[in-house]
Amino acid sequence: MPVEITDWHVDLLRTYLRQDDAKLRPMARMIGAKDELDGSGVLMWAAFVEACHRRFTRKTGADIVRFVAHARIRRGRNAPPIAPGAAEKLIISALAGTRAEGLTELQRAQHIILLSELIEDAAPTEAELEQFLTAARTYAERLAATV
Amino acid sequence: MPVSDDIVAAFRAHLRGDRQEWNRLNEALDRSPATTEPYFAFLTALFAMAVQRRFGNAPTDDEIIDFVADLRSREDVLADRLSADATERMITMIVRDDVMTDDIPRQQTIDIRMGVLTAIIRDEAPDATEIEDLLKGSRALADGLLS
Repeated sequence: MPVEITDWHVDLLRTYLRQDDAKLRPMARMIGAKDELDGSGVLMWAAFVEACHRRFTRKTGADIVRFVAHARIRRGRNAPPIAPGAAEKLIISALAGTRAEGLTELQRAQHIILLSELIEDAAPTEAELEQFLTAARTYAERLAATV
Repeated sequence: MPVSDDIVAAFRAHLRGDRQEWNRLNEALDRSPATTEPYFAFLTALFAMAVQRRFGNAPTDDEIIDFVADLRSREDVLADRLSADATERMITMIVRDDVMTDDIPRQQTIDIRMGVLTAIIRDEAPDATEIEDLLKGSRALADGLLS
């Protein structure tokens, strides 16, 4: 059965990026119940790729190194840590359109944290966020068609 | 075997930023196993003293993350060669004793010590007297480690 990107997936991503924890908690519980993980996963990765392309327009290694360090400092000690090597690999692979090799599934899942950090840096308006979500969905649907 | 005058002379050229003289003296050094140990002991001591000089005794994790990101973003080759995690741990190990570095490959520890030492010296631009003090203190520290 093909992976479908639904309005619910987009709303989940919107809620996550708005850091609306009260709304996000019950939605996150539904991911398993609705067996929606594939759609959510594809959309999250697509959003991460879209965010990377917007943030790293010059695509230099120095920009990536500085962004990851900045994100780690901003998150501080109380949030789950970002592993810098894995984070840099994920960003490079997102920009190159390839799969980051040599990472554990846990390290691979860091793209969800990095996405949040990229959006926090970009500080989009509501209109910009909606435009971003639309672009991410379009890309996710292209990805989903190849799954 | 203690640290030789030849080893100190080579590193003096390096700390002064005289790349040509560093290359000449470094390549002329005796590479027998007996002299390898003092060479790396001296590099380790220089690294430790430079880190102490740069960070003092109580740097925050954020200061170290920021420094390492700055160092790695100076050249793409440094970002590739110096792992952020390993470099941060090696610096932290000098100022605290709550990190382990046993898993870092030997060649990488050498690259990290050279990279960090070079960056600190370039940033702080010590005068000739300060360089001599650093060489003297490091030689004493290395000879203590070797004895």
